[in-house]
Amino acid sequence: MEKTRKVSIFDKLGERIFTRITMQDFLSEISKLKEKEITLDFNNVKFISRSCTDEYLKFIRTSKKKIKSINQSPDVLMMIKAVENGLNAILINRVNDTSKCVLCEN
Amino acid sequence: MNLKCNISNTDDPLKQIQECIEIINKIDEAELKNGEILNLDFSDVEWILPCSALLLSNKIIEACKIMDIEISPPKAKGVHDYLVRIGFPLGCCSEGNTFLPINHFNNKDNVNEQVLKISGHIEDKIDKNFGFSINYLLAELSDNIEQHSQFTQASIMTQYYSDKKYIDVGIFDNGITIPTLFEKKGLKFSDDCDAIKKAIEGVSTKEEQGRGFGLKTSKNLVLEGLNGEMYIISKKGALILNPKNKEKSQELMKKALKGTLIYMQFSAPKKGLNIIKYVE
Repeated sequence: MEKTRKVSIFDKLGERIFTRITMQDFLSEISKLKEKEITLDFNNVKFISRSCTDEYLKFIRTSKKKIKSINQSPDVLMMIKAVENGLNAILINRVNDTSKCVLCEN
Repeated sequence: MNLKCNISNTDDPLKQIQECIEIINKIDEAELKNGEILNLDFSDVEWILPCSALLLSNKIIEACKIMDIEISPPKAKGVHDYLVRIGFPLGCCSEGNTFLPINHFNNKDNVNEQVLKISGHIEDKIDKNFGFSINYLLAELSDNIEQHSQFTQASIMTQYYSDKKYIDVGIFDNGITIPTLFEKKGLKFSDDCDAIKKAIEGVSTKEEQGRGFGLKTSKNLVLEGLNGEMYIISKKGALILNPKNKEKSQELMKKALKGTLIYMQFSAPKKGLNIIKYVE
């Protein structure tokens, strides 16, 4: 059985991804793949909405699979970072130990 | 049955929206005899804003499912030609150089695909300094429709004025409205305007973390990033937001809008806009 699989987000969802349900459905399919390691290839994806990014980050955080993301454009990376910072802020506020960021690995 | 559609010759969106709500209510109240046709008489209309065309076209396309409707077009040639170009009321496939025709979709359509189509068309027409701002607004606001509104019919329209580099964007759904959704979820609010205010402050009916940012960040983008104006009308609440006054006024409409309209007007930024500043 193959250990890793690469999935092109552009091939599945196109160059612009707008609605939360679209990302949820896509990630649900990813969850069902047999491979334990998945590489999400963002090549040719120009835009991802805040809502979709939120779903993507939640998936990364909770998936039982090992997820690697590659070829994010600068704009997509900035969106991911911005939403991640927002999620971090929420989690930091909710964790009693405010010195610990639940999302950050560093 | 003839229904006179009176729309004022004004640039005030709120005034025209109130008049459209009157017309929409009259369509709903029309009691037609068997085989009778409802004639919507726009013959005396001399000026119609994109938000009004959007609202009325959504209602007409919904009403066509249960009654026969005819339209007496405006006598004013400019208005008549404009309505034809934007595909009023049923929407159309062709697009102009500066506008996208009214685009209707229902709850059986793939909303992501609909918005993808619209954003692809508009990108070529507008000033590059808008960056991804239009994409962002269409994404977040249509996502709200899909997630929250329980809509059956939604409509989007954009109008770009290339000489002034100015754009109108309107998005409407005929769903349950922000106040009604808040009520169903047990969220407290004092009146319909207050419900809208809470929604733009980030109060969400969804319990998961990271929810409630769509409308809030859209508002931040329009007001601060684009120096624009935003009208949010839902049920009886009407909130007008602009950079100078933050909330220009909020007023309860006399009659309720059966749905939620978000209408935005803004100019192209002087340099390329990075939307990330406004994303939380």
